[in-house]
Amino acid sequence: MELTEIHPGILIVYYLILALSAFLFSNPYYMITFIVLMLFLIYLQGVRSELVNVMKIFIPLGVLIIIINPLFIYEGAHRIYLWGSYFITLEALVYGFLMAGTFLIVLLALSSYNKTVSYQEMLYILSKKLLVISMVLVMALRFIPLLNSRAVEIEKLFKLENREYLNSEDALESSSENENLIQGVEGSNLIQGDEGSNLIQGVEGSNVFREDEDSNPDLKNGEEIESVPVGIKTDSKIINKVASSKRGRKLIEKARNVGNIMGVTVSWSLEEAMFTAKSMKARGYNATQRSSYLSFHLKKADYCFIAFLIIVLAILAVGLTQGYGYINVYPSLDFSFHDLPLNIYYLAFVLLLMPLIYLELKEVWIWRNHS
Amino acid sequence: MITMLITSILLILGFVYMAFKMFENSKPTVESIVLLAILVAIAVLGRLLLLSIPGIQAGSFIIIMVGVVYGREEGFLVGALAALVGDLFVGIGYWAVFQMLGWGLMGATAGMLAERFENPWFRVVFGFAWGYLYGWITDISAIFYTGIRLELGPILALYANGIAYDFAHGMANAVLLFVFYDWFKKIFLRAKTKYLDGAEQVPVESDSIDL
Repeated sequence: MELTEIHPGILIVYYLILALSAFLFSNPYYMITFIVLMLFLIYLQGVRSELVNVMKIFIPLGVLIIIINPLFIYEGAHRIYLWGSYFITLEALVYGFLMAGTFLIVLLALSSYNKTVSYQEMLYILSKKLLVISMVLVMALRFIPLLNSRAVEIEKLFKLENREYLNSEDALESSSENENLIQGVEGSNLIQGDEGSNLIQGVEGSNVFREDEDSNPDLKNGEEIESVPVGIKTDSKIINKVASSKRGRKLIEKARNVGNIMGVTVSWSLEEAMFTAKSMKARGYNATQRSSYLSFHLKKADYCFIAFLIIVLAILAVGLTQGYGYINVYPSLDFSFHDLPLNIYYLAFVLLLMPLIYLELKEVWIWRNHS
Repeated sequence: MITMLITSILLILGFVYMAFKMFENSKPTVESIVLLAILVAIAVLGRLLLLSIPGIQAGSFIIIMVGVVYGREEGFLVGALAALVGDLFVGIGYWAVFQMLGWGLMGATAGMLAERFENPWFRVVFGFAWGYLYGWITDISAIFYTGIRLELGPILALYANGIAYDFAHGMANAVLLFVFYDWFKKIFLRAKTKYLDGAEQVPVESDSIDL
């Protein structure tokens, strides 16, 4: 997609048309063509790992769609008696399969879309209308990896702070090494570790931890105490009640872990974001109109693409009004596999799916011959 | 069915677009933009951190807390944007629209009922109920595959399929809201006072900067 760029706005419209036509064209021949060509496109785009994710969503929901449709809908002319007087209708069964096929096509088109149109390009489209919101989105996208690295760092500290770990004798030996390691990080003012038990005294700027230092003396008792989470009051009776059952305890323990890491990350990041805001202000954010990092203009290829789409869609629309491309399921199924769709409308349908495959093949061809 | 799907998606998109536009027209300060971005990032991280366990996630908790502390507009914005940004990571689809609505409303209702959150049992019920409500809202995106028109049977079957998942989600919300409410409220309130209340005074002082 790098060699022949199409304007992202046009690509978004194209994928919308694809998703819509997944619903409109219910003829099995059309659907099978659709699925095969989408799979081919995904193969060319090299997102085969994405296929696994698609199947993870599709298989449970697709099976559910196929099963529940005949179980709940008894319309249709062809009855299939399963046992006794209980029957399902062929129409409902076929409809379930068609809907599952539609669902699969939509999923495949979306995974291809995620490969074709990068999020920067989507933001470019969005920023035409919603300037501040797209700014927020860009910043959030930047903050996420940052937050993640902070969370990982804090998770490491919590592991060190874990009592069971420090109480065991092996761990005590290694904890001195860990201490050195942490003092190395100290340059970043993250922590001020002095003793093994008090590794974390406080994330800079937030006084969350310091208040709870007095909960530490419990540590010296060799018993297995539930680690008192930092920063939370645990004197609540209800928590103790829930914690008495094993399962509730596990759940609470998990929640505490995640919550502790989240809490420290959040308070740390909120402080840091403050500096970001001040820095932005100091550099004159909003002083003048900003321009976009990416810039797209409609080129010749885009106009060709639009013209092609209009012609193909016109042919398909004529076909749909004359009854080509879809089948009637209710009240009676009007389809047999002998009706081969050999007409101009089917050709137009195949052509509708072709542009991106053509571009990908062209790219492969250029790579092969000009390297 | 397809027209209903398209209509509902367009309606929701229009609603969300209006909310975004209102935010844009209110001429937000730099501080509130950065604050919004960091809160969105936190919510997305809460969702992605535990992606491997189905249903369990801390993103909803963060969004509820934002709604409680910062008010319903911020809650809606953070919820809707967090759904959008999270989907940019795990793969975007048309269901993102329903997720935006679900999370946005979660934040907005939390903002509306902010005073009652001091009662821990209300928090538990609220978090648990929203586990299901969110599931029901996002499941709308799958209804359109169940039949030729809206019928109760297939929809109930579809929704029954999500009971366990939504239960996990609701439980995670309830537990997190019960245990961490006070702490997170403190953190967010601190940031609120420091960022937003401080920002309002800046225009008065900013004429002369002392070095």
